[in-house]
Amino acid sequence: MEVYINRALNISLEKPKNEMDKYSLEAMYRQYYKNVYNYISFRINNHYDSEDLANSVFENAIRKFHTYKPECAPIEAWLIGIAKNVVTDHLRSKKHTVFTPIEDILGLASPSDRPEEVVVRNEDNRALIQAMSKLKDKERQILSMKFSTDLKNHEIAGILGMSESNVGVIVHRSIKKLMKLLEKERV
Amino acid sequence: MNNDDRNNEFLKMCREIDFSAESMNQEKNLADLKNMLETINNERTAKMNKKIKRPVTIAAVAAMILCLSVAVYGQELWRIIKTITVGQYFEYNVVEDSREFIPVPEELKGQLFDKDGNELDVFPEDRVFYNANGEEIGIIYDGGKCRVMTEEEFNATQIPKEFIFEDFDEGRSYFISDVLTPEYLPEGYMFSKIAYYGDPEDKSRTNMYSNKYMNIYYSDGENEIVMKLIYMDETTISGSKASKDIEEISVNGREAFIDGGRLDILLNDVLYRIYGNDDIGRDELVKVAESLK
Repeated sequence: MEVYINRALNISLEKPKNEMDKYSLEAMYRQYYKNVYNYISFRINNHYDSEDLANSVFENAIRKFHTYKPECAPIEAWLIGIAKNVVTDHLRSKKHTVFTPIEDILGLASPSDRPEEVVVRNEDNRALIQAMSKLKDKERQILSMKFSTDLKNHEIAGILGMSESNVGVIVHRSIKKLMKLLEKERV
Repeated sequence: MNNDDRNNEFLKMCREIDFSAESMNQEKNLADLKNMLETINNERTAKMNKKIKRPVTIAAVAAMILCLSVAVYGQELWRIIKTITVGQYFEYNVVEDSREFIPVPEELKGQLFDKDGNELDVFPEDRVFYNANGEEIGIIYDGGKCRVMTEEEFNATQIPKEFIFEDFDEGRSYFISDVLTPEYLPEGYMFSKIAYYGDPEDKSRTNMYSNKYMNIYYSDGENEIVMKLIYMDETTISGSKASKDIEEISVNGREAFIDGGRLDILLNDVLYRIYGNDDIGRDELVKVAESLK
């Protein structure tokens, strides 16, 4: 009994703290830049802003790394959580209203019969993003995470403060909605 | 193709889209981020140095908190008879076991039982107690709170995962400070591996807790000698329980401590703790420490 009281004492006193060095920064950047950039692109559809915002995400990650708790969430979920806030601040600061003229969608959609083929054939994937702008904000947020990361539903639920089952329902429903939207705009 | 299949197919195709190919400034941005990280770390170090120059340092306050933390429950399970401070950031609490009958603290009431399922009001003399299911449990002191758990639960949650490097130079390169290595090892022992705390599944190393903790292992094929390094600063303040037989010795003119088959020595702000899984003997421990170069 006393043996592991003692061991616990040693562990609690010697528990290491989080710290970022240039090696872990580079590893994190190379592994997750693509996911972060794609998530932002699905949300805002502006290349110049996407690059700046992706950079802001990693700047915030450097400043806040001491608060990251590996036992609570994988690093990818933590970064996407930061990206979500960065995008929200960006949209708020620009008083950005997501509005896509119907002509844009009509002009970019392919004459395919099936929405999934629209995505494949369309060389400009902006059509997909523009169609996504027709979705509700929560649906767009969740689909952006599903499209750009390997996050599981429960991890997305953790970022957005929702239940896992609710995320599952919204994913299913919004994909259907998006496919219908693409199909409808094709006609 | 049913609806679910179509949904999955659509999701799969969307996940293949990669906008990041349009991002042309990745390398420049990474270089800027590294500069920013360096600036932040330098500012943090400067701030820390400033604090250390004050007569009452944060380290001293924190060490006092650690000591009190031990005493909160320690005085009931052990009696602290002496504290030895090593450098600014490390101390030993020399304790002796208390065999008095001690009341179970309020925090643990209703959680400790004897073998027959009777709730305990005082700790039994043999310090063996059980949970309501009759499983033997221990008291875990963690972050100022006491919890009870079985040894199996304890082992599952408390043993740190490790990043392993079999190449010495590669492993050493991640440590924050220069590393001294022993020129002498007992017969048959040679370098085996370097380990850092962290999740081995995370190849990015971003889950690594810190580059201030490193374990170097030497092996003779059967037994191991472990050299545990802790870079001592404000963030790694540590305390260690020691027996009343702890011995202070001099190793190449530096103070070192031997207790319970391990030797601790502080060199260039790095605490080296050397021990073997088989008792390698006091003389061998001293020879290894003396040969650190």
